[in-house]
This record gives sequence, C-alpha cells and structure tokens, in this order.
Amino acid sequence: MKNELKDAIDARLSSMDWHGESRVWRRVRRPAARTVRLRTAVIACLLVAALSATALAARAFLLSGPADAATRARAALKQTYDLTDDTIGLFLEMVDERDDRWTARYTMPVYGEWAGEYIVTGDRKSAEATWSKDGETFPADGSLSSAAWGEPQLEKLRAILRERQKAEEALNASVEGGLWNATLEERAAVDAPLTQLPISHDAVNILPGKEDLSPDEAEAMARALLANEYRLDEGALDGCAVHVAFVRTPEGRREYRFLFQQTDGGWHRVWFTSPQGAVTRIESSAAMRPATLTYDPEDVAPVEYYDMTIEERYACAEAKRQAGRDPKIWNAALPEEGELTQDEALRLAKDALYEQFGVTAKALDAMELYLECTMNYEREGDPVKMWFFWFQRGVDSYQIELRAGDGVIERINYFDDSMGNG
Amino acid sequence: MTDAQCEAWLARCMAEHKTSLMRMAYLYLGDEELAEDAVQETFIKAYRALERFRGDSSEKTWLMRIAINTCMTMRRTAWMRMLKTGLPLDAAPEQGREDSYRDDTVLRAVMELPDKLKQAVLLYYYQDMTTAETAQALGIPESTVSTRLLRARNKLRVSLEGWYFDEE
Repeated sequence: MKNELKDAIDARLSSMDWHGESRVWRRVRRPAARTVRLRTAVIACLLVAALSATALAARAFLLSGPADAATRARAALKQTYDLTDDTIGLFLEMVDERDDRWTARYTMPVYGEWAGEYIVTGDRKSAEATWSKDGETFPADGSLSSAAWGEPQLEKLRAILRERQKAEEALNASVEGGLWNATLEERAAVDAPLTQLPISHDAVNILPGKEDLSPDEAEAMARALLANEYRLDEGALDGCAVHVAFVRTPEGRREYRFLFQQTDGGWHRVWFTSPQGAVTRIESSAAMRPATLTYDPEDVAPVEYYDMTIEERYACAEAKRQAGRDPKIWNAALPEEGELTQDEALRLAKDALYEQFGVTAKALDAMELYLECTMNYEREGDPVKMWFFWFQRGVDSYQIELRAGDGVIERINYFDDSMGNG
Repeated sequence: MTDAQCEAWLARCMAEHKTSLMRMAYLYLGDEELAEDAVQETFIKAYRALERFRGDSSEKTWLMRIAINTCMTMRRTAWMRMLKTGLPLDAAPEQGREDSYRDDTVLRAVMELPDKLKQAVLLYYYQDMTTAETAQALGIPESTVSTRLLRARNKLRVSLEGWYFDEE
C-alpha cells in the first residue's frame, strides 16, 4: 500500500511545489529589532489610561503580566491599531519565542495585499507592534476600495463573511442538503455578500448573464462532454441526480460546474467555461473503479461500518458480498455452532494475555476494546475464521488474534512506548 | 554555528524538503495558499530553532513535527473556520491545472480521514517514515502510531475498495 498511496498522491499533486524561498530569506535576514513608530504613542496612551481600571489591567499585562506572548501581542494590536478580538481573529497568528523574546506575526491569506502584515515583538516587559502599511491611510467608513485595510475595513470584511455564513445557514434550514441541492438563484443569493470583495478565496456563485450559456444548454453540453469522455451508454446519465453551480472563479472565469450523482454512489463531474465551453475539469468515478461493481442498496459509510456491532457488520458485509463485492474486503463473519462465541473467545483472550503479560482481566476491562470476527484469506488453503481483540488505554495496547474454530492463538502482542513494536 | 553556516543549512534544507513539506501541508490544510504559508513558517521556525536542534531525531522528522504543529495552529484560527464554508462541488483541489484530469480517489480518501489518522498516514505512508520516526514527529507513543495506522487502513480499505488495496 505504501508505494501505491505515495505514487497516487504524488501523481495528483505533481504540479504542486513551493517557491517561497525569497520570502523566507527576507524574513530571516530582517533586522531583529524593528523601528516602532508608535512606541511613544503606546506609552503615552498607557500613562494616560492608567487612571482607569481597564488600563491598569492592560498595563499590568504589558509590564509584568503572566499572560502568554500571543495574549500580549493581541493586547498590543488592540492598543496600537484599535483592532478587536474579532478582527484579529481574521488573521493567522504565528508566535515564535526565543529565549526571553518573542515575535508574533499576523498575516491574512487572500486579502494580505490589502490587510498587510502586523508584527509584534516583545519580552517580559514590553510589546511593540508594527504594520506593513504603517503611514498609509484608510477611510473610516470601511470602504474596501482603499489600498490599505485598517480596522474599519477589517470589520467590514468580517461582516461580509458573517453575512455569507448566515445566508448559508438560512439556506441549510430551508433546503435539505443546503447548497448541494440549491438552485442557481439560491446559490447566488448565498454568495452575494462576497461580490463586495475585490477578490475571493474561492469560486463565487453568481447567475449566468445573457452572454452565457443558458442552464439548459449547459446541461446538454455537460451530458455530451461526459458521454464522449467516458464512452457512456445512451441514457447512462438519465437516472442521475444533477447538481449544478455557476461560478466566477478567483481567476475571473465564468464557469458551469456539473455533478451527476448515480444512485449507487457513482458520479461524473465536468466543469467548463461559459460561453466558450472549454473544459477545466472532467472526471468520473467510472474511470476509477472496476466496472464490475454492482448496485448495492445496503451501502454504508466506512466509519459506520467500523462502529457497528459484529452482527450489524456481518449483515452489512453479507449484503455487499451478495452484491458481488470482494469478500476479502467485506470479510466480517459470525461464529457458527461449534465455534467460539464472542464471550468464550474473549475469555480465552484475557486468559492468554494474563499468562503472557500478567495483565489482569480487571485491567483489561478498564481498557477500550475493539473486536472483530472475520474470515482470514491471507493464508494458503481455505479461509479461516478468526477472532481479533484489541485492548487499548493510554500508551498500553494489547492485541490478540485467535481461531474461532479451535481457539488457537495466532498472534499476541503488547505495545507500549518503550517496547516499540512489541 | 555561524550565521553563514545557518544560512547554508537553510538553503540546503529548503531545496531538499520544500516539495514534500508543501504537499504534506496541502494534504493537511486542503488549501494551497495556506500550505505555502505553513511551509514558509516551518522553515523560519526551524532556522530560528536550529541551535536547539539536538539531532536526536532526523532532520526530516524534526521539520515534519514543526510543519504539523504549524498546520494545526493554522487550522485553529477563525480564518480556517470561515474557509470551511466552501462550495460543495469544489471539494477537490485546484482547478484548471495541468493535472486536473487525474484521478484523485486516493487524495480524497486520505484528506477525508480524521485529523489524527491523517497525520499518521501522511508521515508513515506518504513521507515514508518508520513508526518510530512517525511517533517522534507527532510526539506520541509508537504504539499509538500503530493503532492509528491500523484504524486508518481499516477506513481506507473500505473507501478505496475495488480500486486497489493490499496490506502494507
């Protein structure tokens, strides 16, 4: 699995690389102590405000407080730039502590060009904040057309993002499945607040205009593209649920995005520009899974499968086997007459663990238990039914595997931090 | 170490590990820009902490640990919480790239794993670390790594059913 997984991920991410060397060099060669233009103002503010209880608390914060570096950095940003906890929360906070000094950096993805970067440096006695846009002005009305975004603009940004979030929550309450099942109009309404922003971190739902392909034309084109690409039989897409979005991408493309969802979990996806019809993405589960997979009405999510009782898991696996799925994967079994029941197998397992490692049944009962009854196909000859018990608590973990037919122990392990692989 | 030696180390380190760190951060964060920031932050933190690096783990293990901590910090921010309101049709990474047509079944299966399992899988399977190295990088016992890998394999076995799967 190791190589296949690595190769598959590498193939998918082959075009992804990192080119941030120059940014790293700029930062590591930056002089340690930066000029702080507002330092005097901060001290003056503190002295004046020291008359109030609030300011006394803030002063204690900066001069001798036990608060951590991040807390002190945020306090400095509030005092120096009038930022609030809410607007500071829009930034990514990175704190480096070195000996007695610390540096906190506040950067914002996507909108960094406008929001700039805040740097707060400090030690146990002081904290000093600077902004990469110090000296630039920004309108107090929060207009986002400004080249620098100060507190009013950040508050506006936050309001826009919150408005969008609320719109989506409202949609989720009124449309089952939310955006997933929403119409183009509903999608566009949810994303409408984002259109106030100069750019967006993601595609934004909008409505097609007169110059665009109509939704019907686009769907016909999507069907034709998929049928051609994956040689689908005529009518293969007819039973699919069709999900569609029309978006403006961060690069400025106007794009239709279709997803055809089959009832058996299969899917086909195609994205193309409007009105040109140039495909930007096309893929299908049909190209990733063997064609022999058949419709399975008993499908369950992987997480649920492993959270089931052995009876539930068996019923699920049996349904999958009946549907032609691989029994080596869907290998859950139940003990039959003459084989060890779960209680019998568990008792044997506990006895063996006590004998081997001296761990008592009481101690094992206090641990988390995961168990399986499966057909083991990993050996020559007929598959063998096995019981597997796995006890875990903290760093301690015991695993034992025994045959359901005769109780022979095939594997018994103890793992802990010091013993490595046991 | 002199400044020049530290800088030489950083230059080599960036050349050697940047791609795997970038992909790793992307797999963890699911956002290319954030991943770029995380890698930048990782190298800067490593550079500043270089004198404290005792060599009791490999350089790669040490960097991975810094990168994972950085990614975890980033994921806790309000910004990341807001980013989670994405379009459901846009679950996969970048569009319009050269590799857009490629199969991303595995990528999705791994990205959909719970965080703790994903960390173990990325280090063990993707970064080709041993369980001991993975444990060091994550700062957890080796037995816990084994447990998480087993759980992750169980989940992946089902999500990647019929596609490919063999033990180890």
